[in-house]
Amino acid sequence: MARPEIAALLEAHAAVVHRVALARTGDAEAAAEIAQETFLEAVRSIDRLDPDGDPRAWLLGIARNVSRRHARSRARRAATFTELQVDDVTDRDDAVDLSAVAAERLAAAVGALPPELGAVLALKYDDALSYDAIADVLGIPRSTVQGRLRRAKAILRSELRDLDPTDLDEDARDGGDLR
Amino acid sequence: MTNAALSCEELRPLAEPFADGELADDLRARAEAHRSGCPDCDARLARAGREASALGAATAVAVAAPAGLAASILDAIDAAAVGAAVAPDERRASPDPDEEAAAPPATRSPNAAPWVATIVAVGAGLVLGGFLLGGGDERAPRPSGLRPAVREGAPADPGAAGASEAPRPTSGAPAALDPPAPVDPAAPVDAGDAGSGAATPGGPWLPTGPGAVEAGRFDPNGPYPWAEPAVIAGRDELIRRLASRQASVNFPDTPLADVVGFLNDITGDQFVLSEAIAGAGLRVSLRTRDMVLHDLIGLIAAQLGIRSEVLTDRVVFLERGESIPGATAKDTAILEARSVIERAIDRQLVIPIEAIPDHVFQRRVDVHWSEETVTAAIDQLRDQTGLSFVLTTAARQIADTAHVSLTATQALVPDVLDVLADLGLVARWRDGAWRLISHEEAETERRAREKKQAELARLASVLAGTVVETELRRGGVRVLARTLERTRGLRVLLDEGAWRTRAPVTVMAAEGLPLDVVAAALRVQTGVDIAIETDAERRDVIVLAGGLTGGGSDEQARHEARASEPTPINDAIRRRRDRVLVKLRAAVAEVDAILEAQLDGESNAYLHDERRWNERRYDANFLGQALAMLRSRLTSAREIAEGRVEVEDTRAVVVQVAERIREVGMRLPPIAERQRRLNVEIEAIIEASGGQPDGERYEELMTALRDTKLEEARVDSELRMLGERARELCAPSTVEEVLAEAPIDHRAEARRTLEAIEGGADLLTIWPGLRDDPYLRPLLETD
Repeated sequence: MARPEIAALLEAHAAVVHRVALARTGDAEAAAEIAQETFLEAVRSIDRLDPDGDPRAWLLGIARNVSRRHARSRARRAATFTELQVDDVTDRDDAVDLSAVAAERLAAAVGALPPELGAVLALKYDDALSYDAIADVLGIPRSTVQGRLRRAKAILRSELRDLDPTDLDEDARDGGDLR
Repeated sequence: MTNAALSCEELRPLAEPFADGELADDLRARAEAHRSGCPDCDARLARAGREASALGAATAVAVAAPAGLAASILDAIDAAAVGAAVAPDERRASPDPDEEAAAPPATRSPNAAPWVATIVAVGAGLVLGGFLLGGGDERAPRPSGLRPAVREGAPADPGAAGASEAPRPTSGAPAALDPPAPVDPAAPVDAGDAGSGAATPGGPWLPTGPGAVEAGRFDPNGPYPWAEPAVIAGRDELIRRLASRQASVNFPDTPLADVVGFLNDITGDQFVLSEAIAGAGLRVSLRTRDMVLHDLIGLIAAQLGIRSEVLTDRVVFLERGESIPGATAKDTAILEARSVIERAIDRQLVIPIEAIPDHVFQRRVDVHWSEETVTAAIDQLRDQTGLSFVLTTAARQIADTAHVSLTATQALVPDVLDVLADLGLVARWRDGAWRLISHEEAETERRAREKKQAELARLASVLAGTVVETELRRGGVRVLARTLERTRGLRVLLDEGAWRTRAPVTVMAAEGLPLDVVAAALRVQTGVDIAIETDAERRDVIVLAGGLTGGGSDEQARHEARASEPTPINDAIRRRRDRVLVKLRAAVAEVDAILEAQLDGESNAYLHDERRWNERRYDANFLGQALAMLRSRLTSAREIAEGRVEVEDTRAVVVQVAERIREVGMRLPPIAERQRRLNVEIEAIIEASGGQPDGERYEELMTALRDTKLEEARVDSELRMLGERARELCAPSTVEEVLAEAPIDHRAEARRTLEAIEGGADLLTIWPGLRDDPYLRPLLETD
């Protein structure tokens, strides 16, 4: 594989690999290390990439293994034991409509989430991975994926509950769609 | 499941999975059906969809990879490659110094861009000494004046043609042990000889086994690609190409995979490694100038003891050199597996556990030690038993200064020596003597053994690609049995001797791994002879028999019986184990204290600053920290308890969490009762005041009510976290860990738990006892 092809591979998949690592470690620095190691390993074993296969799935498989090794080499983080709990108000009619929040404000709130939760949110809604795919690559049950997504949204709603009206998207306040 | 439309209540929790595209088709259809007739639910689903879109946009911005991540990784790849590359002048070396400046880029493979030449070096220290293909364009036809390096019937003259022309190996020994001399590229070619194809016996290029190549992958079960005349002709063409080109290389301990990458790049052909050698970590040390590629490959093959076969006009297959013509894939696997085991033994990758002979084990002594130095005590043991006791320098230093007091009659020597463990000495029976070493030395030995076992496991992974690997202090053979059952679909029976063998085993079991190899590994690792036999009538049943042979099982039984005797030694051992248990209990108690303190702290914070409490609640991780501490302490204690506690570790945490759930749940009824009473009184005041309540008592009651609600929320929150933690502990991955750790009699239970969870069971199913708790049950059911 030539350098431009590898550069293209990086461009296309570095973010999702980094998110997987972030979701597994909760540590941005460790995630960057894992992402780098993943691609180095990918380059080393590029001949194992099925030409007809999905390079993202292949990379995520490597990322999963690298993350696993990384986790073994460190003490298990206490945070992995703790799933932060907030009231799940998703189903309530008065729950904050996240789509009605100004994009910048919502992005800021997402950025303030615990990294593990933010990353899972991104894997689902930006990378469009299925619950099962996320569960597989993170090595957790599907139900835990759903739980983390619910929790992330609940935290967002909780954080955005007392928004200043100016933070609400004007179109959304008028009933329109943000996007 | 019916096809009826969903109700609003049913649809409500499905809104997000619906928006996430995660509903099964039938459920989605039913949701759509309901949505069309229900404006509220339609709005709910639309909103969920909008939220998903908004979150997609928000996460794209907020959870982006660090700026420049891709660039920095690319830099790292470049740096690794450039750092490993040799100086440019060396890389551009050419056969004739006069040609150096004139060597045109066109002489290189079009696929071998300079960057590619360096990328294959990533992380492996590959140094390319430069290459020059002497035959011009790689696809150019063979010049008529050249001959292929391998010719049918060519004399096996090591001095002239080396391995590439040696007779084909037929007895497992690779033929290409001697480096072949460079072939004269100007020598005449005998196309007729080279084209004789599969029937040609000899030389590393000749196909000898089943194989097919498709998209660069080798299928050992595929058809014989060289059977077709067109394939044979193509194969000869590749041989001619390789014989017509030269390269200069410098591979200083370079991974074979990188060498193959290099060859692929400069030839444009496919050099394919068999699975067996792809993961074997083979490395090449070679420096050549202007060597014909064909011979260069022969050299590499000879150095590594592998062989090469030209399969098609584009593919060269590299595999182990021990293959026998006509051998099946299974035969090859057996050979490879034996090779690995032999290598493991040669390199002392395993330390056989030496069983203590019965006559040594049964030797009894009378001791009356009162503040005796250990050295003097050991001298007494030596005198009484006639056995050899050897102390290392470190152990001697301890023995000279430490004192021991013990009175025992007819005590077993191992038990007496066990007491010395408290003084920092570890006794091992080895080489016909009791060897006393310090704890530190024992730890060093343990680490060395683990390292060796890890290397054995790595070697084992070479065998079959995927290897189930488990290591236990105890029950190793039993674990092997279960692993075989799981991975091979076999029913494994153990006789008592095998059952009682407790030496550690790094289990190697994988699809395709021959049982005799497993048995060999078992014998090597346990140090005792365990046979694996297949049942005469049922091929899917195997028997592990032997183990502690020669009365070994009886010896084990006697040992266990003796261990339960009320002797002073046994009492001393029991006291030591009790001390461990006390530490365990202290650890658990401390965790409880931490939890209580944390809860109180959070509660007080909440009263003063709700937002702060919320923030802290998110950040505290108190349960995780407490449990991590418990786990850590259990681990420490486990080491002291010699593995007995180890297998109960995870289970202990599970039980702890379950008990905690119950304890916390029991706080709810009194809270509910207080709330009920407060509400009654408050309502009475409201009624009496005509809906305008006021006054000190009313405020007092409202404050008390608020407190109870806070307390209820706190308990509720903790219960939810505990529930989550319990589920996490019982999640399949964790249960797998439990399976790996659990003693044999817990494995079935752990397996049932795993299956229950995989089947969608909830906590109430897993721990039926929770059903008895009237307050916890509804909470868990709705959680």
